[in-house]
Amino acid sequence: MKILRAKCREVQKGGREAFGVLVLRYQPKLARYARKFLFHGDDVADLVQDVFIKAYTNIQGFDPSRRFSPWIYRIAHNIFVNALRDSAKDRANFSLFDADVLFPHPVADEKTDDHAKREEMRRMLDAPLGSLDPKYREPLVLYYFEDLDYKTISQILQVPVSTIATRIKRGKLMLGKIIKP
Amino acid sequence: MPCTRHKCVCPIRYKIMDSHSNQGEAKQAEQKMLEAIRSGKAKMQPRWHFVLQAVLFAVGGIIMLLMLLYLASFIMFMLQETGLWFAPDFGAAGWYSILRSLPWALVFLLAVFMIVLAVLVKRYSFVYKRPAVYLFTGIVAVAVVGGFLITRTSFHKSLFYSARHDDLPILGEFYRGFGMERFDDIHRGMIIEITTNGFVIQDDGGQTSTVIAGPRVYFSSGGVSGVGDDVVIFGERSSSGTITAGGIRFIGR
Repeated sequence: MKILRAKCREVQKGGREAFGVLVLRYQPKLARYARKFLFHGDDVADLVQDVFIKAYTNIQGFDPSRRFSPWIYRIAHNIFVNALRDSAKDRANFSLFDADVLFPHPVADEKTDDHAKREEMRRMLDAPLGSLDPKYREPLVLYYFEDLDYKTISQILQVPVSTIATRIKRGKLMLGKIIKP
Repeated sequence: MPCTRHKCVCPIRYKIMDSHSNQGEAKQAEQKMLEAIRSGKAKMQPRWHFVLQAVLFAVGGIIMLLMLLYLASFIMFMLQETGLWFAPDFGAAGWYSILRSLPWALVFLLAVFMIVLAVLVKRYSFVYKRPAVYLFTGIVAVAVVGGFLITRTSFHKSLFYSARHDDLPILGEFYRGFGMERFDDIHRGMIIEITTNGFVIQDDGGQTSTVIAGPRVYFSSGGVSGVGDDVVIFGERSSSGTITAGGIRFIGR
């Protein structure tokens, strides 16, 4: 993490080549995030390239005392959501008004044993993930495939942690119904 | 594409191949990105751009909050000036009168200000970490409490006074239009004369009205004491200008 922050500082001071290290580190993660979330195989490379171009353009707005990961994932989220909005299939799934974000949810905290089950869940979720609403698909991808915790996902999606927990829970229930109709 | 670096036939061979493919993709992306930087396709925004953006958002939020407080307090002040504020004291008919006479255009504008303020502050982590209902409740509470506290000061009173004396440019018409609005069933004024079956009131504009207060009139605050009392009358005005009071609310002297 310290190396990444140092690289960010280097880029901010004009060290262009240091940005290459950030690309090497995050390209596989962001490409996987895009594939699992968007399900458009063809333009993933272009979309991830757009994420890096936007990240480079805005790197002076990044505070190196904070974690780089939520910052770049946030940029990726915005670009991927725009890509989904542009595709007619998912256009209706992004509403301005979302009851999940509006009201508090009494959801239990993240459990440590969830981490142990992630690999198994990953295998189970992989195939039917595409049939899930993007609103539920995205937190599942970030949690199970990107190994991010609720707090980081909350920072990326800019919604409360309780909303993330609710969406993951509901997403899993929906997938359960898809797997066992 | 077959993996040329690993000739083994182990179960993790495909994983290694996958990893090599990812590395290849990443390397390609790195080269493409560095090329985009060198060619000027990707240009870094200067730091001041982000500082300015943050300052503009903060200033925008503060301006919106001040406008919200101003408008909320103006609506409350206007309701007090016209007497509508006291209409709920007269029961269901009073509430109906409020709903009929509220300045809905201003209330709608207030709601717009609230939404704009919510959008402006939504980018801050202390806001988005909590459910949006807290944000909206907070904004409504700030508008109501802040607006009410402002009406306790002489801020709107002095502006309204200037407007009435044509001494307030730009906002003068706004204050005169809303503050001096008269309704059919709610009337505010000061008692200037006691008559055998009621009294005469004079409003802020100097217009006088005769009020008939019958024996069944409802006094919501224990009755009036005499000339000089500021009162709100609930009752229809006839074509001759006489008001038959259904209810009387004493406000002050």
